Amino acid sequence: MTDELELRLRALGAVLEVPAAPDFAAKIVLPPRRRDRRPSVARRTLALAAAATLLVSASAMAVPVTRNAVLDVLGLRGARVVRVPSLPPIAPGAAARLKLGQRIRLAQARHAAAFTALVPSHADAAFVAHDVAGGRISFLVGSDLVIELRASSRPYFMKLIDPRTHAKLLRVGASPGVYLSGGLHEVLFEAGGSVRSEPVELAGNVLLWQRGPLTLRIEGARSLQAALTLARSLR
Amino acid sequence: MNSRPQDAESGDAGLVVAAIAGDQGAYAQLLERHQAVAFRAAYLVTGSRAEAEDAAQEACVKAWLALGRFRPEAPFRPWLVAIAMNEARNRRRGSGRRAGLALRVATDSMQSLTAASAESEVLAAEERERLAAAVAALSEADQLVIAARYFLGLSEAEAATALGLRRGTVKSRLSRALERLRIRLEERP
Repeated sequence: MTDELELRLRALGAVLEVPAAPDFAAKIVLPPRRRDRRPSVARRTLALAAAATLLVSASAMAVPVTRNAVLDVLGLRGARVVRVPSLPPIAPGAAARLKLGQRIRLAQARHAAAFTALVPSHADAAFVAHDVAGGRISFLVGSDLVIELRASSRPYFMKLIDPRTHAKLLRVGASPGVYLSGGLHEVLFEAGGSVRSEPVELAGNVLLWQRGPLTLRIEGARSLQAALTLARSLR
Repeated sequence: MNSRPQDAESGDAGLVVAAIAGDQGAYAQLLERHQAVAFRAAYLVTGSRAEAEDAAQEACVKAWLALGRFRPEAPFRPWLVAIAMNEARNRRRGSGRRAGLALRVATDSMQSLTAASAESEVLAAEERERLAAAVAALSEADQLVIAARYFLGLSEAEAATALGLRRGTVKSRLSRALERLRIRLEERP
């Protein structure tokens, strides 16, 4: 039975000062959920090698997008940038090196994946990997790395950045993008249902952008200008 | 305030099943339904908009990651609220603030008053302030059970889930909390 005090409490509830709730559903970035399945021996061997990193990644990705740094990158598909209060510690030797896949001849690179790759004007090596739908093409250009994949609604790259990292939203030509510099960041990427982590040290400054059906990423550029120059050389 | 009726929970069932299977769109729909009450719960605990936002967002992510262990037939809303309240309490503890809910009456709750209604509305506002102060003087356990039922609009069963209590415990604790509240109000008319 509802008595007068309960009615007064309900009325009080209606006038309590509570700010309007943000629309988390629209802006939250959901990390991939690890599946509960027993891996094959081969998968388990690989998993053991990266176990420490995976644990770090899982805890890091549980950190949500913070209120002041939602960089869902202007609809950039295939990539998300998430600012977190602090990056997870990376255990010495735990970070798996970025696997670029199989080396291929530069002349093969444009059509080695399910999409037509953009090729830098001067690349030193090209690689193809098939750990993501449509494949992934990578180019080494000096000390820089260019990675291309088919854009999709599901993020493939997820970059965690800490408060010291500067994230500049920009356009590369007519395409939306973001440039990360100045602080630490970690690249997490999903492949075949698992999450891999790339050490902070490898990433350097990063330019992420979308061009037509592709999501592209340049790692290790000395400066924004250098990254943009390389980006514009892609044909 | 989100005081979604019981039948909304039954409408959640299909979305929960899909979300458990990994459907992010279904999960987004669940959040659209219940993010307001989760945020409200976090705000009442932290008293800070920024911390409530962070706590509620973290709760949304943690709930997503934990969905694999969630029973599809269980109600989603109080589960999300429970996670949000835990996150909020952790943040409050981490910042060294004392326990107790943020029970401030909105200053704009008196709006569009006619001259005739102004006086009675002022009296009502003073009464609300007095009631809020009396609730705030209760123990946090009492405040929480009152807040769950009357400020968050949860049913008794939902309050039990949100507070991690048995339903019978919610019933008895609420009864005692209301009694203590009555006594306080009578002591300070």
